[in-house]
Formats: sequence, C-alpha cells, structure tokens
Amino acid sequence: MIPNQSTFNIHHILEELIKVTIILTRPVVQVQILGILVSILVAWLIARWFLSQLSQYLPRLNQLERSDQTQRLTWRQYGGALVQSLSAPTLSLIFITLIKLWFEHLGWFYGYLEEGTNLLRFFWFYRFFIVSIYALFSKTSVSYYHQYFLAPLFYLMLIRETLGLFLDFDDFTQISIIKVFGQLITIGNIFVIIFGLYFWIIGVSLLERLLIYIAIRINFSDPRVTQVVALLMRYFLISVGVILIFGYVGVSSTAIAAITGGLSVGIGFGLKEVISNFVSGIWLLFEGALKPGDIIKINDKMTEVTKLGIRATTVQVLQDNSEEIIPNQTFFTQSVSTLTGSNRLFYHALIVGASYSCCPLQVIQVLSQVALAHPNILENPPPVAFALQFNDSSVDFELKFWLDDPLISKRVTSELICNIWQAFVDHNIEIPYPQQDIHIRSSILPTSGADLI
Amino acid sequence: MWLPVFCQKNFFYGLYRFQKIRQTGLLLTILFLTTACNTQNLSNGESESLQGSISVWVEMPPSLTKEQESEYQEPNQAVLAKTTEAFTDIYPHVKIFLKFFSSKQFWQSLELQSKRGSAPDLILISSIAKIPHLVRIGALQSLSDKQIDQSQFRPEALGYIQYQGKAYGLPMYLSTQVLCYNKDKVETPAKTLADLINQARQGYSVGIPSGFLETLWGAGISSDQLLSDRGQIMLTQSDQWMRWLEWLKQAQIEPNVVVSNNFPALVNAFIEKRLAYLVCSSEWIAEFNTTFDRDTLGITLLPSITNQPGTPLLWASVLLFNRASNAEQSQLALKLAHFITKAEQQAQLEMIIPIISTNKYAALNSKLFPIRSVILEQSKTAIPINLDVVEKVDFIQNHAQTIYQQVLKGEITPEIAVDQLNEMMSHPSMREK
Repeated sequence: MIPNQSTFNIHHILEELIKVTIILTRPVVQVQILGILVSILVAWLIARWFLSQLSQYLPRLNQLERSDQTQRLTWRQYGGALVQSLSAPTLSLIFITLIKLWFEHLGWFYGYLEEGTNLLRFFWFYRFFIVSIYALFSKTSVSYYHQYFLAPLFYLMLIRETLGLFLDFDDFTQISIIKVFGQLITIGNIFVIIFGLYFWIIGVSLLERLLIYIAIRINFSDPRVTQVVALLMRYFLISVGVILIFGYVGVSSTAIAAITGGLSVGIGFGLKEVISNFVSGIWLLFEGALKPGDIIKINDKMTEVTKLGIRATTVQVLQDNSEEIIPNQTFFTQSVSTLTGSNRLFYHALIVGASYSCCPLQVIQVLSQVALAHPNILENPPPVAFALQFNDSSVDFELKFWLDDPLISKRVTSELICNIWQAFVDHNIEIPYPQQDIHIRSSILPTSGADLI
Repeated sequence: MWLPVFCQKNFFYGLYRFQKIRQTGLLLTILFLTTACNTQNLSNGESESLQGSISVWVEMPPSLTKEQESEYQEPNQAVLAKTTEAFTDIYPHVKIFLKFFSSKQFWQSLELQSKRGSAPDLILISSIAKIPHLVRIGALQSLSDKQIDQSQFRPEALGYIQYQGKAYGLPMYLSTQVLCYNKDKVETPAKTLADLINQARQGYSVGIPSGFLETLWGAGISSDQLLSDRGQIMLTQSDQWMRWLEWLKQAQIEPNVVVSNNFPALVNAFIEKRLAYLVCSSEWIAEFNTTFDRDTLGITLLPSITNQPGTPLLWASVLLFNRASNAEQSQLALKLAHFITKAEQQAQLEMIIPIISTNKYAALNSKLFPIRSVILEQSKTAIPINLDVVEKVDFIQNHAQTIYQQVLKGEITPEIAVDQLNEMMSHPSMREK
C-alpha cells in the first residue's frame, strides 16, 4: 500500500520496481515467461513459413494489400486476410496451452501461462475484429480509426494487462509525482488525462462519423443539418469529456478559476484573433447560417462549404477546385452571399435573339417548351420566357428557369443553348446575324448627258 | 507507430522485422537472465549479510466489516511495521514490503497469484480453514523440523500449522471469544449464565452472536468431547448441546437479550452503548479500545451451561511460506517469521494489540495488562482446532447455521437439531473429508 505522500518521491517508484523484481527473480516465474516467449517465437516462425508456402500455391493470397482503398473486401480477400492475421496467434495459443497443460500435469506453477493464453485470446479476437471491419467498411474510412483509435486502445490495454501481471497497478497509479496548487497529481491521474482525453476526442469523432453515416443511410434529415448537429454534438461531448476527466482526476475548480482569471487578460490580448474566430465558429454553428454543402460567394469567388470548424471554415473554390480556409470571423465582418441560404433553389436567365420575321409569341412558346423538356430545370417554379426589347438586328427574348443545384447551372445553360438552337431550326425561327442597311447619298448631281456617260 | 497487418508488404519485410524483434528479444533475454542470476546465495551462518527483498501480505480477520477493517488495519499495520523495522535494523540490506488486505480481496489475489508463482513470500492469514486448500494446490512450502523450534510455541498453537504430518508455517497469534461489557453500565459482571439472564431482566442488554461456532462457548464442551481420537467431530455430550440450545432459545425471548447473526450490528450497538454486554471476539477489542475510554471497557470470562468458564473456539493467525519463492526469499521469510514469533517481539505485539501470544515465553504482567490477562485465561479453556479437521469444522459451520436458526425460530426442537447435527457428522461424506 502506498503511504500518504506529500511530495514527489522517486523512492516510491523504485519500491514498485523492486516488488516486480521480487517476482521476476523467482525461477518458477522465469520458466513460465520463457515458455511463453519461446512459444510465440516458434509460432511466429512457423506461421511465416506457412504463409510463404501458401503464397506460392495461392499467389493472390495478398490481394488485400493491393485492394482498392475505397472498396470493401471481397469474401476471398477477407479469408486471405484472416489466414494472414490469425495464423501466428492461433499457433501461439496452441503452443502455450500445451505447455500450460504440461506444467499443470507436473504440478508446476502455470498461472502466467494461463494469463498468457488469455492475453493471446484477446489478441486473436482483436485481429479478427480488425480484419472483419475492413471487410465491412472501405479501407480508407477504417484505417484512420484503426491506427489512431483501435490499435492504440488495444495495445494500451495489452500493456496494462501485461504489467498488471507483475505490478500492483492500483498502487503504482497512486504514486504522486507532482503537486499542483496544493493538489497531488498521481501517475494514474496523468494517464487518465493523457489517454482519457486522447481516446475521448478520437472516440467522439468516430461517433460523429457513425451518426452521420447512419443518418444518411436512413435518410433521417437534410445531410447538411445532420452534419451541423453531429458537429455540435461532437464539441459538446468533447467539452463534457474534458470536464468529467478533470473532475475525475480531482482538479480543483477553484484552481482552474484562478488560472483562467489570471491568464484571461494575457490570453485576451495575445490570442485575440484566435478567440474571435473561435467565438465566431460557435456562433456560426448555433446560428446555422452556414452548413457544409452551402454555395457561397466570398472574395468574388463562388465556393462550396466543405467543412465547418470551430476556428475556420474550409471552402472549395468552384472555379479551380482549390480549397480555402477562411477564418470564421470573416463571415461576421464581410458580407457573404449564399445561393443556398434558406433553400437551394437558384434561377438563371438566358437571352436569345430572334429574327424580326418571326412571331414573338411562337418564340416564347418554343423557349418555354425547350426549358420544360430539360430534366434538370424545375417544373415548379415554371420556366418563363419574355420578349425583352427590339434590338438592332433581332427581337431579344429572355428565358428564366429554376435549378435546385447552383453547381450545374453552367452545364444546364450549355445544354439549353444547344436545345434552343435545334428547336429554332425545327420551327424555322431565325437567329439573325447583326444586320445593317447602308444608304449612300451623293451631293453632286449630273448636269448633262456627257457627264453621265 | 503500429503497422497494421496489411502493411506487411512481403516475406522479406517480415524477415527484416523478425530480425529486429530477434535482436530486441535477445537483449531482453540477456537482461532478464542477468536479473535472475543477480540473487546471492546465502549460507545459514551469514545472517548478518542477509540482503534482498520480500513481500508480506496480511489478511484481516474475515469477521470484520469495512469500517472495522480500517480500525483494525491502522494499529496492526503500525505494530507490524514497527516489528519489520526492528528486523531491518538488524539486517539493514533487507527490504520488506508489507500489505494488508480485507479477507475477501486477500483470497481472491492469493488464489490468483499462487497459481502464477507471484504470491508473497510470507503470508499472515486468519482464515485457517483455507490452509488445507493452499497445501493441495501446492502454494505452500513445507518446513523441516530444523526450520522450526517447536519448543517455544504453546502446544495448542502448533495444531494450526501442521497438516497431514507436515508443518507449513509458524503460529503468529491466537484469538478467542470473551465477554465484553460496558463498565459505565455494569457494576458487577456476570459470572454465570443465570447471572447474565438476571442482569438482562434488570435492564442490562446483552448481545450474543448466533451460529454454531460462535455459540460453542456456552455448551461447556471440552476439546476431547468435540473431537474423537481419530480426529472425527462428534457430539458426545448431546444432552449438554440440547440444554445449551434450549437456553439460547429461551434467552432470545428475554426482552433485553439480542441473539443475532448480524455481527456488525451487534458491534455497533455495543460501541453506541446500547448494549451492556457483548460476547465478542478478542479481535474486536482493538476497535473497542479506540472508541471506549480506558476505564469503560470491561472484559471478563464467558460463562457456560456447566457453571464453568465458557469454552469458545481458539482461532489462530499463522505465518505461511510461499513455495514459489527463490532460495534467498525463502530464507529471508523464514528469518522474519522467526523474528516475529520470538518472545520479545510477541510481548511487544501483545502490549499494543489484544492478542494471545503463541510463544509461551512471552508473558505479560496481568496487573498491568488486565484485558490481555483475561483473554489469556479464557484461552486456557478454549477449544483448539487443528488443520486436519478444520475443513470439517468449516463444513459443519456452514450447514449447522441453518439448523441453529431453525431452533431459534422455534421451527424445530433442540432434540431434533442435535439429531440432525449428529446425523450430519456421522455421514460418510464427512468421514471422507
């Protein structure tokens, strides 16, 4: 039991390490550990040999590594991945179990061998789980969470369990290493703060993605609204997690108030812009003025909002597909026009000239018919055509139509021009070239017949 | 960063990784074996050069509640720490790690660690009924005659370390039951059961823990009457048992007598001075000492049905040795156990905590330590249980509990209860135990 500590003392850590050496210097323990290490080594070698032999007969066994990043695994790839991942742990499990039975038969100590099989079983299921989620989801979406969440979590648990076999973990984590504002911070507290926060933040982002995925799959609501809700939920959960973790550790709220109070002036000046952006970000999220997928015009560029962040918003410039990260306060200091504010309806106009020889009513009718025939042009509100003016060479008409996606306006306009051209040809409506009548006047009139000849 | 399984490009990459692992593994193995070889062989004659580290676990008595455990741990830990300090003063290169556990936690951890071989080198246990199990799973190291000087121990204490002809430890201290009373309430403590009932009728409330073993004190049965020559448990004095059960049954009807198997409630009632008398385990007295004034707590001998001093059970706490310890650790543990059970150390322990020393040369002045003196006196009529029958006693305790409760509730008569107990004890399965 760790005595009450008032200050940091390396002595306590050393004592815990000495306790470990008490166990490790026992021959009955050493022989078990040796058994486990040899079993794993032999199993690993055999598994390597087996897989290399297998790959000669089944050269496409490693298809998984070459598989498309965005695709799920096929059953064949899944089987190959399972064989690859589970052969070594399975063999290790068999060997250690056999050694354990042998030790038990001889009346020797076998507890570590038993624990070894438990840990290997845990490892086996972990690998099986990992391969299975690669089979269920695309490699791109899984690999991030695999590398940054599942793998660290698993290996942390594995290390904790392994150390727990030799070390009294409860005692070890109670060792104080630092005193902050009169409060002793233990090794356990530091573990909880670092790993707890890390896994909480990554876990919450995983939850956010999962919620968005489910909401999209079941058509729960507008995906843009889902994204905003998920984002808000993420920041809320992160805040709750931070409060809970610091509360669990026992960080005094008075100390936090004193620190933040003292530093607030300095922070206010030094990080003015950052805080301004941060507050703007929170405001934007709650106000709902911007959502991912919105088409906005900012800095004279037509852009699409791709990601709302707490400090900055990422937009994609439609002109050249480049991305711009715009600090959130920009949206509060500049006027931003959005094409997708209250709804995504967007109207576009096209001006067409027709010959003076054509009947204007016929032209209006043809234009309306062409617009209605286009699949992307909305029927409601209906497209309308107007005669605009008598121009020099033509009578000008305007065709006004509605789209539900501003991003397709250029393509639709192009198609519409082609269709109008064809319709005009079919209806003998001429699109006139600019015409100009030239009247030549002369001031010197002929006076005699000789002059005329 | 950890490489996912899919990142293992080919066999050669795997081989490269294997070579790295092999190098690391080789280094670790060398380090591991170096640590293993770093134990120094000690001969018996080199006691002054003793060095090394050992771990000692202490099981707190199973009858304690959570609140009582902290009351128990504090003084006991201080005393044991003082004893181990005295030991390390003599052997300055020895490091001793002492840890106290509640009984439940102790057995969970010990069972697990005994299988691994990582259990502590020296184990002080109170639940002696579990020692045979530890012997059977091969967790304990047996001691040779040379390793124990049996002459210094009280003969009844030796039964607690010997199982099937082999000794597995050293007896640390003994405990039994006595009659505790509140001196502020009771002027003349009861000497007989009749006195006790009379005083109860006068308004002095009495608490009696119920149960087969807990109430054995009143039956007036000697050790010879409980155990046959062949080590079988028997009820040869059935009439005494019946009379005793009848007395208990009648006593619980008395308005000021509480017969209950809720020990923590009884202890609390006594501490809160709602009870004038309490039949208590000597292990509870440490807690009473912290809550009662020096002159308030009174201890006297238990009465019995035979108008002789009561005959409670004698329990022991024993020091056991781990079979998994290496030679150096075993030697250190044995040395420490001998040191703790020495007359001088036992006397020191006895002065601070209310125990019955197992060392017959550790005598305290009865005038200076009246409570210890009463406990010691009571232990003379107490029934010792040896390890060969301890499991049978434990088995009977579990089953007889129900029979006792049935008698107290009036569901069966004492005659039927005794018949059932006798039948249970003579059952072939009991003989096999």
